[in-house]
Amino acid sequence: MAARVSGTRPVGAVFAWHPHVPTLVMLCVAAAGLFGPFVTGGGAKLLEGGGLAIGCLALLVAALVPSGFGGPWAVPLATPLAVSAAFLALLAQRGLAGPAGWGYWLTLLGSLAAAATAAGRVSVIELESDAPRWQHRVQRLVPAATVAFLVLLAWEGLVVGSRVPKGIFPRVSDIWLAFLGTWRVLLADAYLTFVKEVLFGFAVGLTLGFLVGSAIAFSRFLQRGFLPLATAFGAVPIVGLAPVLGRALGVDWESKAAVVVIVTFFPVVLNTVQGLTLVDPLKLELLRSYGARPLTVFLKLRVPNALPYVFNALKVAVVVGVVSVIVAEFLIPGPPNGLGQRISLSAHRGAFDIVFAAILVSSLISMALYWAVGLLERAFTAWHPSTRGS
Amino acid sequence: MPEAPVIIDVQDVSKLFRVGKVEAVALQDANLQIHDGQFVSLIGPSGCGKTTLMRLVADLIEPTSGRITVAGKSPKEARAAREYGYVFQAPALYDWRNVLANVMLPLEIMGWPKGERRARAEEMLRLVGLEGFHRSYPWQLSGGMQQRVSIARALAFDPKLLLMDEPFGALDEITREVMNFELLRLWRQTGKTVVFVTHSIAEAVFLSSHIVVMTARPGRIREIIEVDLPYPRDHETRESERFFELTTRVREALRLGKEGEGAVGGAASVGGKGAGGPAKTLAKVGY
Ligand SMILES: Nc1ncnc2c1ncn2[C@@H]1O[C@H](COP(=O)(O)OP(=O)(O)OP(=O)(O)O)[C@@H](O)[C@H]1O
Ligand SMILES: [Mg+2]
Repeated sequence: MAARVSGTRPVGAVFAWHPHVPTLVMLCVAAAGLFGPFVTGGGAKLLEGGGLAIGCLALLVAALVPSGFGGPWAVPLATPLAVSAAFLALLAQRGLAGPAGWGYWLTLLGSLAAAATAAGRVSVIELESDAPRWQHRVQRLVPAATVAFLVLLAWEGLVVGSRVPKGIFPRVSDIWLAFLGTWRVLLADAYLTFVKEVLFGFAVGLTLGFLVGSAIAFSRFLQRGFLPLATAFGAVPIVGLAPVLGRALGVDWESKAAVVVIVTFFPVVLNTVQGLTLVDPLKLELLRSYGARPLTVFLKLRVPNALPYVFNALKVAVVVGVVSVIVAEFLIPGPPNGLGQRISLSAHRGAFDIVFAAILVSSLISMALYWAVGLLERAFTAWHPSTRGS
Repeated sequence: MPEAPVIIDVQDVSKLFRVGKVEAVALQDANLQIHDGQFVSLIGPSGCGKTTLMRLVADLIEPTSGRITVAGKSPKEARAAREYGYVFQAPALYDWRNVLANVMLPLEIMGWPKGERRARAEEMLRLVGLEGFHRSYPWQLSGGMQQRVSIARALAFDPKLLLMDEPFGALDEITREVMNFELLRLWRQTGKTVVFVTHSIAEAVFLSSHIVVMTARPGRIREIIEVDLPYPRDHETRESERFFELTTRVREALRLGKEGEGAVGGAASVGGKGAGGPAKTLAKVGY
């Protein structure tokens, strides 16, 4: 009788998993790992290390909280917290006495997978359109933050577990310690690299590029004579010229700023020419009907029209400029150290933790630069289809 | 009635466009005199050269042959003297300026004092019914609203001559009627001369003192019809017998033009101040 009743149910309903099941399974895997051997051969278990109390507590919380509340947010929010706590406890071990055992790998993989599936749940929860703002914000931030965090944890866990020496590939925590130890020096390096070389080079490249672009836009001769050359030049790998510039301008920051000037100049020229000349003919005729002078046409129509183009060039130049300046510092070694120089010197010494710390600093600054250009773009070209509405 | 002076004088004007090897006669042997204070509509099938004629008068393009005088000057001088305001067939608003700043654009260029610019632009926007939209950007407006902004912009600097290329084409029937009344009121109040392109026969008859009927391929002026309905015109005008007769006459002219029978030379004068010279052949462009 009972069998017949269940037989009439739709198959999908019988086997439908509760959406939190994958996370809970992964948590169980991680928990099982806690009881396995931590180091092969040795009897040490993770539970015997410093993380015993914290790890247990964290997994317990992760398992209990959802059953207590049951809302759609409970497991997704509790799990990453719990897993990170468990894993941080694992990280409190500064090293392994021997090769990692299966207990170690199970805890690592289980907790990472649990955090990933939980974050995945957060991103697919259907929010009501009138849900509070924090829920929308959490939904946007949690997946991105979790992925970033998981990458770092996986990095740390793999390096610890496979016992790669610090001199070959550093742990995340090593990089962090190196950063804490050297940040004053790194910031001084960054000042040289970013303020003196990148920003200065940018300002000069942008100004020159805009002026030359304007000249080209207004001269048939330059358009025919210079534009093809400028287009071809855009394809030249300018950094290759760095040693030449170093010989000509000295090893101090000027030669590296010159590299940035050149890589900024060409895209700005090309885009300025496009922006100044690709103007809606009707808008041009309107000004013509007012008997406007060429300077008025330039300021009131051509320049605003060119702004989105110039910003596009700048966004390209930020990316290329930072890469070029780092490489240029490799190629023109000089007494004043920039971040590129610091990377190159530390790599020679085998201090890869400092190499990564320097890369971290330059990434953060160049991201900030890119973001600042984007902010300026939004402020100046809010009307443009590519920025409006967002 | 004493004859008003001629403000637009088009003599034997032809315009030939050449795109690659293909030549298109946009306008052939046009003769037209528009007197000060008239309201003249151009009507005709698509591609008959209405826009071309307006752009010639505005010195946005140059005639292939023939001569044009605007307010006693060459079109170039008239443009420099800001004799006309042009409402283009498309709104041509500046995306980076809000509605108010768009209307103030001509005033900025003509060097009006700052305070006056703003007051004037606000007044013009009230006239076209866009008081609440000063801060909006063009892309936030409907097509009809954009076109009204461009009308406000053309009126802002108070030109003697208004060249309007299908200004109400994008408006709904009701707004269009309101704008028709506003335009008539403005015209009668200020004594401007208006050249107005439309595809609506009823609109042409309702607004105009004269209607220029054009034919396509090649673009020619076929006939000029004087609209003898008395001003001021109102809703009753539209129901009068004369209104009906005139619309029928314009329709006939358009229909005959379409059949291409007996296309007239194109010599014509608005307001009857003597016909222009005899139609010439286009010796210059190798016809
Ligand atoms: N810039 C140009 N280059 C080539 N041909 C053109 C150009 N402008 C207009 N023409 C041609 O001239 C003819 C007349 O065009 P015009 O724009 O004056 O027509 P129109 O009467 O205003 O038509 P519509 O009612 O559709 O606006 C058309 O056949 C068109 O193809
Ligand atoms: Mg047209």
